[in-house]
Amino acid sequence: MSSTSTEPDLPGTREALWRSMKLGFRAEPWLLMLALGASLAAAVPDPLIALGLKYFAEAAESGDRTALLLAAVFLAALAVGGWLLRIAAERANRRFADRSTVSLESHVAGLQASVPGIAHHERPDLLDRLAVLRDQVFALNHLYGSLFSALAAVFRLIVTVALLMSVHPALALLILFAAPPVWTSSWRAGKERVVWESVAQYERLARHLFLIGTAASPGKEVRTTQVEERLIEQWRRARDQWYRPIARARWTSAVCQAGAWGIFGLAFVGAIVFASTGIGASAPDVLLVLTASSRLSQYVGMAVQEASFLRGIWMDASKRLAWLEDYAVAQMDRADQRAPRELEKGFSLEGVSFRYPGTENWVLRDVDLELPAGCVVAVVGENGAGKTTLMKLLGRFYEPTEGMIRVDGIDLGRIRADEWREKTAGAFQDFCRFEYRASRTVGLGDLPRLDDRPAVEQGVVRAGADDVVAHLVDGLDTQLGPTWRDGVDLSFGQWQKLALARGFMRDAPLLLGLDEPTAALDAETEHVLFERYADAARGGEARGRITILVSHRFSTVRMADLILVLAEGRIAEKGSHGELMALGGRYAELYTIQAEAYR
Amino acid sequence: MASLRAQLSSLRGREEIDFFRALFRADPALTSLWWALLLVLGVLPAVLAVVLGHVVAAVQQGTSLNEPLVTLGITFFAMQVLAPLHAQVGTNLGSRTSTFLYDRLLHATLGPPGMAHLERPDLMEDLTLARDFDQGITGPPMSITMGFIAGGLVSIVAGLASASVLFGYRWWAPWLIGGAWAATHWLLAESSVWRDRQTPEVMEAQRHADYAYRLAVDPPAAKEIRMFGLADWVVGGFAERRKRLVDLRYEATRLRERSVRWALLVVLFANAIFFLALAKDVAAGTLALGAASTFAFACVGTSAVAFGGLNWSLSLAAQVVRAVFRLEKAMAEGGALSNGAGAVAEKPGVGLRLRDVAFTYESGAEPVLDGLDLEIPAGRSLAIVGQNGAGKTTIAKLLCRLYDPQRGTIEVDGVDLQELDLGSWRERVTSVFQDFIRFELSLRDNVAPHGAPDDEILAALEEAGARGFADLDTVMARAYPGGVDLSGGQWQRVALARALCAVRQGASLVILDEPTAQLDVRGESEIFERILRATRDCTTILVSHRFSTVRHADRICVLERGRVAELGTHEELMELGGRYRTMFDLQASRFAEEEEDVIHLD
Repeated sequence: MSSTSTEPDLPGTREALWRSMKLGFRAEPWLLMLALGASLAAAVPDPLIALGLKYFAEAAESGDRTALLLAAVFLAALAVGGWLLRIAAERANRRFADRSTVSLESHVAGLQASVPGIAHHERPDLLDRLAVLRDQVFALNHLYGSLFSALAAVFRLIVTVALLMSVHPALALLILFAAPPVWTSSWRAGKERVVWESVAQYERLARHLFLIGTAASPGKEVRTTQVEERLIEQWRRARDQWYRPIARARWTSAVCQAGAWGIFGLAFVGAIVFASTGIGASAPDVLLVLTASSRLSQYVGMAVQEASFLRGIWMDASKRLAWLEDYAVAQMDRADQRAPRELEKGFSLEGVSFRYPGTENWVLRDVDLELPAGCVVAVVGENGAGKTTLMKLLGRFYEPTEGMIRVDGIDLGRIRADEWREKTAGAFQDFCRFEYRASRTVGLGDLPRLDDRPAVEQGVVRAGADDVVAHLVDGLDTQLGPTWRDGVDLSFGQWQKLALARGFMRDAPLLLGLDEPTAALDAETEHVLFERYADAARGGEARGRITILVSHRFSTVRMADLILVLAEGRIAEKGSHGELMALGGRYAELYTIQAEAYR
Repeated sequence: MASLRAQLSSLRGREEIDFFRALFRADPALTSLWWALLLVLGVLPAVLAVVLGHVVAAVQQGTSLNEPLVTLGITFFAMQVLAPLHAQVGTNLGSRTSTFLYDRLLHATLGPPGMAHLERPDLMEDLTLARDFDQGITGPPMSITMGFIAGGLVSIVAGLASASVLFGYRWWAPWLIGGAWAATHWLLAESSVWRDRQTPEVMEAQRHADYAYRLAVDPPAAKEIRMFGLADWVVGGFAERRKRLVDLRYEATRLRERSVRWALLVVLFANAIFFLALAKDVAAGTLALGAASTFAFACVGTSAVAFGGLNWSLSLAAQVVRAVFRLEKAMAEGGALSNGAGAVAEKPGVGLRLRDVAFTYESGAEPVLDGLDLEIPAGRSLAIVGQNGAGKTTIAKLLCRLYDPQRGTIEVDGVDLQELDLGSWRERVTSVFQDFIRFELSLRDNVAPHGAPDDEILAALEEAGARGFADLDTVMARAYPGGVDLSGGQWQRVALARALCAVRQGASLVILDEPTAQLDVRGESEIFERILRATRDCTTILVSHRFSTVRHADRICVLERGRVAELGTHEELMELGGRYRTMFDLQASRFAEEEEDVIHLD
């Protein structure tokens, strides 16, 4: 059962399987036992048919009419019983799979959604590792069914070998010839997986191009630039680069498996020759050996197929799930501190450096910074200066690579993420378009008040999104997202306003992070929002709220108490608008450029 | 056999047949091989039954075993070797088929010159299905589906082949046994298919469940899910919906006691009659042991009929094929635009004139543009400002001729846009939309999707202020080897470089829809100077809400409720003291205030 995975830190097969079984048991204990029991019961009749045929032949040879009649009834009962039990087992398995999958999928989704960090959503290696769990949920659905079928096949094998041994013990050796196919199938599964991973990038590219080609939003540019043909051509190439190595690996597997099974086929003939001429077995015994050993290969085939499914996909998913569980635990376990109820001192960053895991470039380097409680902070800087990363660190989506962020003296990394998140709010430039009814899309910003209409309306007003709502057919009850029934699409700016409204739902966050929330908004809206910032900041002062605004608009930036100018991952300048203007440095230069435009 | 014929004829009208046709079109050679192997694999168990009888007979009578054993060996060897080959042929055929369907879908979406077909709500269900079927969310991917389908078909063939062996015993035997096993399909039919699976309610619930799942596991919502603590809510909503679906299906397809009893009675009766008759004939000495063994073995083998059939995953796969075919038809109609023959003059700028243009989106109720009149002189720049939803982007889209207006005309140098050759018109247009494409390809391909000399690409990057982001060959996404991620602002410069590169290659109308929204302040003012310089000879249309950007345009148009409210130069509009003036002053006031007037926040 050794795995040839290239990812050494995926948990072992046995452990992963055991954990998956425990999950299944916890989700549906009775259904699991029923499915397993039914699978094993259904495995009984088929191998016994060899025995039935032997009895029938014996009775025929001896001319015993009663025995013949009994053997005939036995055979009929086996045929019918096999069918009936199999149907029952199928049903039990399906029911169990359906029910347990819901639990498993919830578990998988829950783990991914609740890990505090977002590295697994951004790092390519982790994305790859989770792709199976993300997109092939059905793999877990089949895990149990496959396992039970494999067990049933093994059970049949045991019965069949026992029958063969009843003719001559040496016939048990036939099972040894099933070793090559079994081994081949496990060996090839590993090989195929390696190939699969080596071409994953082409699959990702093909999918990316495919989505560009089939979605509405990129459709505009695809048409004006007339890249339709080229897109198809590039998609085909990527798809081909993905398919060819995989197809080749599959063909190699097929030939290897066929060869391995060929060996078993020869051994089968050997067994028949041995039985009929070597030990001079009687005709009924030869019939038993024929039937039993021909079924033997079927059972081995079943076991191998299930095992290869298990190993190739289902088991892989199970291992990844176990890994994800470990990953989630590893991410959680340092958090032992409660989030403060209010800020007294504020944040302090001590020698904070950050680079994205697996990359070389420092995005933030040696940042030392005090953000006093109750302060409105604006962060400006060129693209790539580290503004968004700073927000991600404060939101505890990542932990600093070096250094420490303290919240009122407590290491942020040790504050329970879920508690910390209850104290934060905000909006991002790459916000999510939650396609629900508008009231929900906004209300999600403060889950306990999801359906609290006045609260939602307040969030809408705070974000100046009233005009968006006013334009909706059914106001806040309008379904958003054009792919839903009666759903409407919004412009980018309208979505952004709703995202902002969501960010303003919470009444008293300790940290309000606004990462270029108004980039797509028009002049009047911006003006209105400017006042909202001020209000929001004032409202939060009772608890020492810190507002952090990332913006390119100096008209907005200048109102901040503290302006941070980031350059190449470091704090280049900090101070109030007046101080920085007096300094005559980078900020003053940038401000003047923008102000000039309105002179 | 009659039941088979009935099944075949009912099959002909069903969507399953479309699936098998699609297989063949995806890869004729592989499909033929798949069918051939499938038939051989189906027939072999029946052959084995016959050969087995010969071996038993030879042992019993003490005659030479050579010939029966060789036949047995060949039969068995073939069974062993062909099965794994067939499985892999099926797997590859599955992948080929999804490639084929994806290919067809891409042609369906990309083929029509218009856009409306991509936004039609009534096509979304099919489109989602056709786009995601191989992702393993709604069902297994095609490569695995093929194995399930093959399993069902091999069983049917094996069962029928075994049944036909029974013709050697008595004429009625195959009908009795084959018929009884086939009857189970009919008797248990109600519990085998979930008829309501396709009802709108079920599909909608399914989509809601999938949507919630994607929110939980996909990157776009990651930050907000965390910030607002939505994990449990999203997952809970998902689980609840999914559980309801599963239970609905269970209720609808539960085995009914009555039908199971009938099915059991039928197969028990048939098998009992057969084996008793066989026993009677053997006892009477009219049937030799070898032949009896063959018939007993074949009779048991016939039960495969009950297990075979059209796998459930087949109907899923067939739905996909149907969806793709439906989309091909609907999209060709929905996205069609008339094509004229008029050529567009090869000159730096084009003059545009919109006359009484009205436009309403198919999904929207209110007209976005209504009675719009606007003239854009050749080689000049025009800025369009207005509130969100005023129709700014729609004008840009109409000028690219992504749609045709429902009323009014758009003229290009005096010729109706609809009378021009669409391809050559679009060659003259280049655009940067707010949601421009971020190709996960090399920087080179991002700037020049059609290819261009390196010096042109570098010059365009230079003009857009995007030099030095990466090598031309670097892939613009970190998820690829050696790839890098760009920030939003960097991406915007790359998108601008794309447009500027097109200008260098002869585009004469440049449409910029919020091109600098994500650029920083220094970048914005610097870049806009550069763009205006680079597109000096072109007709340039700039959609923006940044007045610092807008004022540089030759003329500014203020759009309100789908019409032109004000039109003129910056100075003229300031003079006018209308909407433009109000909006400009608002923004400017943020800068114009003296230090002591700064709003104090405490």
